[in-house]
Amino acid sequence: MNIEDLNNALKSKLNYYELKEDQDSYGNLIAWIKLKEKKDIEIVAKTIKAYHGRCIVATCFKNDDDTHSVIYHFDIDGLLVNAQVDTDDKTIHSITSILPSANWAEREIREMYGVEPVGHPCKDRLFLDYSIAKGVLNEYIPFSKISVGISQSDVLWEQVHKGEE
Amino acid sequence: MKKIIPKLFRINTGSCNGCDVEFVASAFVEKFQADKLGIELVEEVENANLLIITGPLTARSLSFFKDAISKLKKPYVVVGIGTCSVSCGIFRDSYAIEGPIDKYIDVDVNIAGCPPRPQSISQGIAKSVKILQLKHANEALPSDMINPIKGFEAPKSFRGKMELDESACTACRTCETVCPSNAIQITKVKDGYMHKIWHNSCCFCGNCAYFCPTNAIFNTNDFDTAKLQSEKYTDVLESFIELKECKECGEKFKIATQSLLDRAYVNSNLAKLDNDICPSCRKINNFKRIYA
Repeated sequence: MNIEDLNNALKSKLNYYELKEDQDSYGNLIAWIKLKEKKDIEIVAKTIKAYHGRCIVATCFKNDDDTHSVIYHFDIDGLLVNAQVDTDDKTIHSITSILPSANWAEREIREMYGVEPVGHPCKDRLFLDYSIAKGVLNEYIPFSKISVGISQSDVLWEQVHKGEE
Repeated sequence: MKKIIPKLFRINTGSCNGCDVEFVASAFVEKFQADKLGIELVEEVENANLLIITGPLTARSLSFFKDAISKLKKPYVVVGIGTCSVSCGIFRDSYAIEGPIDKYIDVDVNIAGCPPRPQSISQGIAKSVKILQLKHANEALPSDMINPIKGFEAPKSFRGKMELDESACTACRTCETVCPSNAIQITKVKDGYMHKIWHNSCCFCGNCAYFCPTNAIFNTNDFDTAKLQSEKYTDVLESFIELKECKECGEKFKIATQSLLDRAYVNSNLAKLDNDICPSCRKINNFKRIYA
């Protein structure tokens, strides 16, 4: 399996998409696909399935204009395929019915970013407690701020300072 | 004093299991001396009088935790093992954290660490057994306690409590910035900076020591982190980093420490550097020397 075969397989089914080739330092081939239409992810998933591939994981991120992008990371016998879908209404087309390996990844995105995978067979929470609202990663302090030790609500240090008075 | 049998029950409130593994080591390895305390492990929380808690108390575990502690019968003692249970450490800002545990239960002994050394855990449990006896006898709790484990020194390579060399520190705030658990605070005070390390929030990762440009902050092999609850917010290492007055303009400034100069000018002899004047005055003097 190589990227050219994948491109030929997609070309016949998809009207518009971007495909970039890449390679990591170990020589592994990586394909980056950017889809124009949300529903096209189902065609990509079916193609992956036809080649006996699987979904490894999916990544979601919030863009500056409040839209979201989801990147599915697939594997076809060592070939890594990353397919990006953009959404402005917080919904994506679920591919779990085609590739069951996307099940937990889509549920995680639903919990952490509030992006709903429409047609997902399971409505239960994956790991987040029911007391926590969906889409917490959209609302709370960005990791970049936390990682530099800037706590916005540090009541405990206040106690330390109180003890000194 | 009537002999009380400490009946131990352990609750994991979302710990990574690191502290639990160290606790098991403390409990079952003979050299950590936990067997001398005569502790019995119990299977039901209602039979316990010595509660061990690990983890930062996640939202998921909160209802189970509340249910468990409601079944406890007084008098009992509570020991929090690990920085997570004491102050939530690196998870403090997380949306999924409801801790620290002392918001919901009166804690008696805190053992900070990520995870703490088994000796530290043994010391903490020994202290809690003593507190349990005092509670049974209706006696006042001490404000400080002698450590029961003696004659043990952790290896030099052990990442224990942080220490600061005030003479080498330039108050550059690198340590404060890279600390993942917000254990360091540097504040501007009159004539200098106050550098504070709160040991109960430290996860002993050594990030500050790794990034410190002058090696001013470093790990010691001091493993003893078992402290009473009354010491929770006072177990802080405070250091004062002094400013110097410029001989020319009178402004207060932080002198470049020798360790910083050694690092910046590896191959130059800087014995002649005029450290009595501030950087602004030195620039003016240099400009005059070269162009006047």
